[in-house]
Amino acid sequence: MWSFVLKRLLSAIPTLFLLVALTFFLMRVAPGGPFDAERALPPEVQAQVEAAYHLDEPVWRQFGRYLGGLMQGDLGPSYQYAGYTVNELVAQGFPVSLQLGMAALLLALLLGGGAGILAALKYNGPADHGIMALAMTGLALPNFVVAPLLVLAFAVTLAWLPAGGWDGPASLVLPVLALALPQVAAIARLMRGSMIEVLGQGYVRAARAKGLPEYRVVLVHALKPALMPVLSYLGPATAQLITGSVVIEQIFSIPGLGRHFVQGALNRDYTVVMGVVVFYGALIILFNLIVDLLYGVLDPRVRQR
Amino acid sequence: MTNASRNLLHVSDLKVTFATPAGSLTAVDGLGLELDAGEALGIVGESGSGKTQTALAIFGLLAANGRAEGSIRFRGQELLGMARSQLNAIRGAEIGMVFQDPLGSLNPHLTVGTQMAEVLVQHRGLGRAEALRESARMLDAVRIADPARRLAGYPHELSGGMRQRLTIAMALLCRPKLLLADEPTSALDVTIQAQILALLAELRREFGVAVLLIAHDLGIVAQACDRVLVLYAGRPMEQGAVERVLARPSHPYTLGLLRSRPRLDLPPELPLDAIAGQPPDLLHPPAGCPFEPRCAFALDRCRVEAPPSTVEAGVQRACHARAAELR
Repeated sequence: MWSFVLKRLLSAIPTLFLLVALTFFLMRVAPGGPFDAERALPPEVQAQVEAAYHLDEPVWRQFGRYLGGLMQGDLGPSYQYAGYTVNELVAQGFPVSLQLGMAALLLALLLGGGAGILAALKYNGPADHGIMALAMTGLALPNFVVAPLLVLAFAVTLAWLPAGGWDGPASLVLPVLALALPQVAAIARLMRGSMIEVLGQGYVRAARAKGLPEYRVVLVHALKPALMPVLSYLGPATAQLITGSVVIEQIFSIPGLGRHFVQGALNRDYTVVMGVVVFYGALIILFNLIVDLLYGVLDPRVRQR
Repeated sequence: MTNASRNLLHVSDLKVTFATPAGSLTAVDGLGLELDAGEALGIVGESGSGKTQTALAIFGLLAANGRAEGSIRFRGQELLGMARSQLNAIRGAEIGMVFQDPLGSLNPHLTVGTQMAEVLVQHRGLGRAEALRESARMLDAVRIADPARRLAGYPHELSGGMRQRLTIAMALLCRPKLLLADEPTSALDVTIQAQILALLAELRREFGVAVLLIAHDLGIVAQACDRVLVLYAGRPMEQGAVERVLARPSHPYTLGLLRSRPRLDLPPELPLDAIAGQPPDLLHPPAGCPFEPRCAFALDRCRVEAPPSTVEAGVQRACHARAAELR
């Protein structure tokens, strides 16, 4: 198994390199620079600032410099937050996004998984149709619509929960809900589909023929195989959730990674954008690897030796 | 009534229908059978004749759109319409089932030990360790070597023959009174087939279990069963002692089945004497005898009037033609 992990980690290097190269050069191609302001700085000041950040060097040298830093785990200094390195910004924002994302993920798994299983067991019945209609709605509504509606209902009208900010568990509720809803819908649909398929398998019929109670048939015999498609969805979805939603963090003014990303992109804060992209890319690769390892746990036939 | 309680299994007037978008499909119609303790009954018929649906109806495992009517009594208890929890106390405990496709009926995600032990935990209330010991003994009884290693492994690590031995062992764990085997050998090659049939016969003697064997091969039934029931288009054609029915068939369909077997004593270039035509459309079952369009002995009334089931010389048959005329 360890040789499999090592192989996968090594094969991640070219992927990450490509990602770094693409974002690096695309950022430079975009018009404007980190120190362009409404009112132009005096040329000598501008030149000094650019020299301090090596922005006066040819692009390929800047790229080499960035790669050199990256290999030592150094994501460079932020151009906008003076005195901060990108590493510090990620270290600050990531725990916030991680908490938010994990809470949303947990909620989505429990709610979506449960709803999907229920729909599959009541296949073609009213409960199934109701759950699927809700799931379609959840998928169709973008979170920039859902989030303000939640704020309007629970923060403004009912005044039960704070409309934004980041202090205490109460401030987590609305952003977690808004973040989780589309995932609940997606997982419910996946879970239902695979559960229906698994319930039609011969070994489920055989389990029933053994006189096992229904909960054991579903939870012991059918759940593991039915989780496989959900699992492959969860890899990238987890990386996406815990690295912070750009929209949700903006709407609820949460100091997570996603907000840094937006601010960074707007301000041409090259290193911040690069840092978040590289971090996100590395997480996606990591979670896909974890998913592949979990496949082996769920299905002994694909177990890595 | 006394008769029903003496029988281990008493099925009467069983009708299995499926609601399909094209209308109601009748898979089994007017099926009756009796099985005594320790007896072996074979059900034969071609694909789609309702053999498997009969077994599934007994187990309460029909597809969601299926419906069973009539009566299925097991040791005097009516199984049709029985509450799920009551039925669960019988299936796997007093009736064991072996499916046609051994790999498909074993869960690839669970160890062999888990799948065996859960039966004993469920029905006999054993602890897991004790259940595993009992499972190992049963694997030994079906001649699977090194039971401890097999219990820790997964079904895909076993060969086809071993998998079927395993499902048989699983079905016998609680020492059931009745074993339902749905084409247990048709997914296996011929040598393994013979081994499994020999094993079944041996286990029948050892455990005194009655067997309901579903097959499409008359040879298998001749080898393994005391009595045979011939099904055609979901209806019983002929039922009686194996040696009697196969030696002197009293129904044109049984006769056709026997004649269409490949024979080693005839030159191989001779074409098989297959029964011409196709089974009827089960969505629109005929009013008369379902075999009439393909029958060489058909009378005028066969088309309009389904022959009633009559008993002649110990053989139950549903045919208008006289048995003596079938030659």
